[in-house]
Amino acid sequence: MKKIIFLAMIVGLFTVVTGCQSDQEQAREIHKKVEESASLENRFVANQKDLAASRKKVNESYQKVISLENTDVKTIKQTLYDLGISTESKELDLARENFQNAYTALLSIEENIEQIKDDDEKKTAEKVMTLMKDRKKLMDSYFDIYQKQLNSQSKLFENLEQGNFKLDTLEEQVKIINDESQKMVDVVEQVNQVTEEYNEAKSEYFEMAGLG
Amino acid sequence: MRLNNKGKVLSAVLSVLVLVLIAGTFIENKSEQTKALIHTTSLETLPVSFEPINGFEGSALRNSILLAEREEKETARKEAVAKQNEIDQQEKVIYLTFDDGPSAVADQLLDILDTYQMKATFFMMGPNIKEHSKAVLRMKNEGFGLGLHGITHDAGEIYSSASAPADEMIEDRDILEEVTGIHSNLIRLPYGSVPYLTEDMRYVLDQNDFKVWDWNVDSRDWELKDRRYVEHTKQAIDQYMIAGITPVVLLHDKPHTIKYLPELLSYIKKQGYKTKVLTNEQPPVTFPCNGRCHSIS
Repeated sequence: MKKIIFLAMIVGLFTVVTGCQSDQEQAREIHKKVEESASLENRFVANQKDLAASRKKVNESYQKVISLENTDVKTIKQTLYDLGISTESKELDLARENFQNAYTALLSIEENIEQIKDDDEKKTAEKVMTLMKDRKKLMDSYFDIYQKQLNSQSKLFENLEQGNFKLDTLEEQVKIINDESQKMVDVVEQVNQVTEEYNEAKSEYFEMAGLG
Repeated sequence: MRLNNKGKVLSAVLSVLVLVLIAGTFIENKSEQTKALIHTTSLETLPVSFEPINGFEGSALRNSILLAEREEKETARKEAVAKQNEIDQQEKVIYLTFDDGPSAVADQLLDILDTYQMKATFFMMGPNIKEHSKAVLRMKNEGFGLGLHGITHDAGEIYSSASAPADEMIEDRDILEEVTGIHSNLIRLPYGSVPYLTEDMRYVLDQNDFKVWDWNVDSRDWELKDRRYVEHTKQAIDQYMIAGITPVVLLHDKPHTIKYLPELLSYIKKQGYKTKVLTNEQPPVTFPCNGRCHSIS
């Protein structure tokens, strides 16, 4: 009888102790995956810098072209040939791939979140997950619009390179590119907003889990 | 020493407490260790640097393309006008046009034209169309030509920007269409298209399908305001006919014009000239810029 009571108490104690251990274990796992993803995302960040440099180059070439006259077909052609328009598209594909890799590395935290026993911790972790998915959706939008803009840009430069100088067509193409640029600005603002919320939620969760 | 039941329970509770203390210390130590190791990397925000591609409007490239297109259009227009002229000359056609109406005396004007069985085209102001809508409907029903003359008749307003002429004419066109159901693209700029209708403005008017009609016979009714305009106009019409050029006569919907109009129409009839209305399909008689056009400012 004594032995049974003693055993029951040891088991009870063990349960309490391992419960606390389990949530922290999940938090550590989640942290590991988050850090891995962040490390992969650094490649995406490097891609952004390349894309920004390409955009600058494109704008410089465009300004040079529009300073010429319609009779300067040779110079216009040479300027656009030297630009190499397809580079930016390849850089965008790479950026998309790197972002996807970072996101994929992060996805499996869902199974860790399911294991969390503490309600408040679980809610906060779920918020992190939601924000992560929202960010992914917005980034998908960003990539799609960016690609559309590159396609429109390509059409404009193709017309200029080939000397297809129909004014209303060129004006329409410029307008489309600028409308798409504005959409980019809007989606980037949303991405940045969600990124900040994600960073905050992440910190909050790790603090709650006793890791922050 | 043997314990009673109370003693047994008490010792069990004490054992549990000790174990909890030991476990708690262990967990805290591990937590402290982990705290020292935890660093959470914040994700970076994206740079917002999607600049619009500026500068096309007003660029050397755009201006050169605009001029080249305008030259092409002008050549095509002249060829079309020459062709139309050939057809018109066979029938000894004259185009009578009346600006600035409809006025309070528009009905009187229409009566006179009806008496002589003659047709004319009216280039009308939007506010006047609204005010004298019955007269405009009569024009439509009796087969007269309906054209547009803008809203303000103020050179400072109508030539204030590249889109200003088109904006006024679009508003005028909408008013005319609302009153009569007729969609007219025939426009006449107040004071004529030279010198203030720039290439940019012509381009925008073109984009909106407008046909800019000027004239080649100025009756000077706006200047002479009496019978003298009739004699001047008769001579000018004859000269153009002799030269093989179809007259497009500028007149105004004004009482002093209407007073002496029967004399002019009587002469036109006597000479065997035929009056016709202008249409959307016809190539317009427009003053060419020839380097004379410039911004009003």
